[in-house]
Amino acid sequence: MSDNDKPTPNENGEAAEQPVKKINGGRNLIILGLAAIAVAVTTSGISLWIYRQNDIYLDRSRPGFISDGEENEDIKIDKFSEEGEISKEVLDKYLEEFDYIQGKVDGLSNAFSTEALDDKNFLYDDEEETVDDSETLDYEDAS
Amino acid sequence: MSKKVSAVVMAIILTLTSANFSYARTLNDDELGLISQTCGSIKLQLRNIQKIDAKNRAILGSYYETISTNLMLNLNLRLVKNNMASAELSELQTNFSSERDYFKEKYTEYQRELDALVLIDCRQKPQEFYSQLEKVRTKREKVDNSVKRLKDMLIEHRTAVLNLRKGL
Repeated sequence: MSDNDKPTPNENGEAAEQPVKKINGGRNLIILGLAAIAVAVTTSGISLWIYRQNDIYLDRSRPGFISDGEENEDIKIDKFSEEGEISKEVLDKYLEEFDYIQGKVDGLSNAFSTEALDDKNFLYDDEEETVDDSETLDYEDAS
Repeated sequence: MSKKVSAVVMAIILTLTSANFSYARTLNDDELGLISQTCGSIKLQLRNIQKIDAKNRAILGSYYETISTNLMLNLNLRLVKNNMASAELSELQTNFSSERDYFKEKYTEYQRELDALVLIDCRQKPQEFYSQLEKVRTKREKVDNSVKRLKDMLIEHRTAVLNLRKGL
């Protein structure tokens, strides 16, 4: 402690009491808590906004929509190397891989057929069972 | 002068409103009644469609990604390294990639409209529900068209590779 920091004695030679800043710990704790909540709510809000704006929530991470098993379908193809020569054999191998995955894509070419939302699927009487069941099953099969 | 301006403004408003109204067919009382009565089963069907669509979107997305990055891109790189760059194959790769982005964008729009449709109370608001259904159909059609175009591009790509092979 330097000389300047020492309390100056009063007339009686006693050290004068320095004014002590009172710290209200309880109040500060409440402010800290509220600030933490505000930050958490704000960041969560921003995250959710980003989540909704992108197609992430629609594509993959929608809870209950796609199970892990369904989502991670194994695609058994070798990555075509960007190194090496170009020959008929190489292109044959390429086409073999390409055909495999093209076949998979073709299998889903009607996945978003507009028939699934036809009037006949919505404007039907409960008693007319044929319209209801057949159309729904067709759509499920196609997928 | 002001009359002319008013006439133009009215014409624009009429054009816009007619375009808007032409979006949805007005249902008759029987049809509205049917939607209200079968609202529960309609909702179930829609949720089923949502679920299947999400799965198909994820699977198709991974196929397109694999084709684009593991096959098309690498083939073009290899051709370049062998001084055999093909303008046709490069263009097809670019177009495929652009269409893939378009597909993703349109699917997102479609799914948003479908989400909104499922939230409408078809028992109480059948006409509103139907108007939204027509919007969803339009969006779905765009997704469907994109899937078809991507399929066609794959066929074109295959043909181009076969032609390249023939030339070797």
